[in-house]
Amino acid sequence: MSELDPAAQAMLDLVRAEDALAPERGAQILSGLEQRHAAGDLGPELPASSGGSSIGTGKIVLAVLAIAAVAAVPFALGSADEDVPPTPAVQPIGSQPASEEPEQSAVPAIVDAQPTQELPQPASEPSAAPDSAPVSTSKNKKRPRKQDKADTEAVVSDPQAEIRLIRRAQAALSAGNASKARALLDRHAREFPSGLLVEERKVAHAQAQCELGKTEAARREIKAFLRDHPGSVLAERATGVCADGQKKNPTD
Amino acid sequence: MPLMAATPDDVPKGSGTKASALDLGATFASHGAFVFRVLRRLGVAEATLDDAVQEVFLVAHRRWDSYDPEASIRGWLFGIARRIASHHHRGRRRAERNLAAALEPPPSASLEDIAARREAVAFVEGFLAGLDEDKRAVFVGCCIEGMSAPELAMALGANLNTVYSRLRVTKKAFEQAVARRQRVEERES
Repeated sequence: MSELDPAAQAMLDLVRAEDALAPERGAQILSGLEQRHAAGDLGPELPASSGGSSIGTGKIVLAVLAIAAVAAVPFALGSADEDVPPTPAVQPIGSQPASEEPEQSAVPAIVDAQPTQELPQPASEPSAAPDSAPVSTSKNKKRPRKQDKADTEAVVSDPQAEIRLIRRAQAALSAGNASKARALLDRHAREFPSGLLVEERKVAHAQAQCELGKTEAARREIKAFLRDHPGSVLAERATGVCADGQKKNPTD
Repeated sequence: MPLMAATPDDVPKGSGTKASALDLGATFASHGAFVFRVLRRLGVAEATLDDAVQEVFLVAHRRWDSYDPEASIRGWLFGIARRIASHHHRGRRRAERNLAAALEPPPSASLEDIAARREAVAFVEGFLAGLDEDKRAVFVGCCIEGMSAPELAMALGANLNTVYSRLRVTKKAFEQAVARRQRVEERES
């Protein structure tokens, strides 16, 4: 099997490296596992094949070798894959109109490469398409394509602008200017509702609310944050927002 | 794309011996992080991820009789994890919703680092979310976890040719998506 090209592999390496299970979380999962097991929890019922094959390895390896030998023929001949319908090139449901820029659609390139393959579902789930990930692309803001709001939110991203806004807000908070900080964070929420720094915004906003004496509002925001971002590394910081003794100039 | 012939060495082996029952603690210690990563990349929502990891091991414990000690336990667990993931994420969430804890930076990380890493994971999440469950499973198993096609075929109970086919399609699609992303970034810079 061929390797991915270096740029693609580097992307996956980054994801894998960043996806590590933290020891504390691992310990919590194991503790819960042992408790469930001790309580007689057998886990969910799954189809009979869920545990993998119970056939002996020797038989499986032979089968794999046999399958590989058969598989090599169509590959060598460049013919279609066995799970691919024989008829070619049907425009997929939800594919982009012809007037769109090719690079804006995740699907056509795949269609071109494998016209008869099963395809990702593009239009109904805009964020699900490869190009829909928040690539930094101010150019996307100018494109004439009609999009629904969710699509726009998922695509448009400007990390540097986000960083500047959050940094200014944090600086304002540090300088004791909670009102300015809150205004900047509100602006971030309007301009980057699904941005890369949403968590930082939410915690800082709650902190600003607290500094402005909006204690109940701050606590509601923290409660929502912990609900929407379980396991966030900012959770500990969030729970400290408006803790006893932090309340200033109470207005609610 | 050349097709390599499958050999017995492509499929990791088990120890050949088998205890009367699965040692949950020891198995989790060896494979817990692997199962955790696989479930996350198969799209299990962060809120239910811990439960899903536990369920993989509970099912493994229950189905221990079906495990062939000659086979890779990693592959066996992957097969269970794939079913658990399917069970969990019927209502697939948008990619960015999974980002919250998918890429938590150390508290000392700069905003630039945080944004860059989240952007990379968002990109991969977006790509994975566009795949059907079968293609997603082989792409995660192969390209993120480094499993061989024969090992995946065994783990998923799938035809090896089908696995190769899915890998070929998804790898090419991913490379193209990365290339398009780079072009966009180059135009902007």
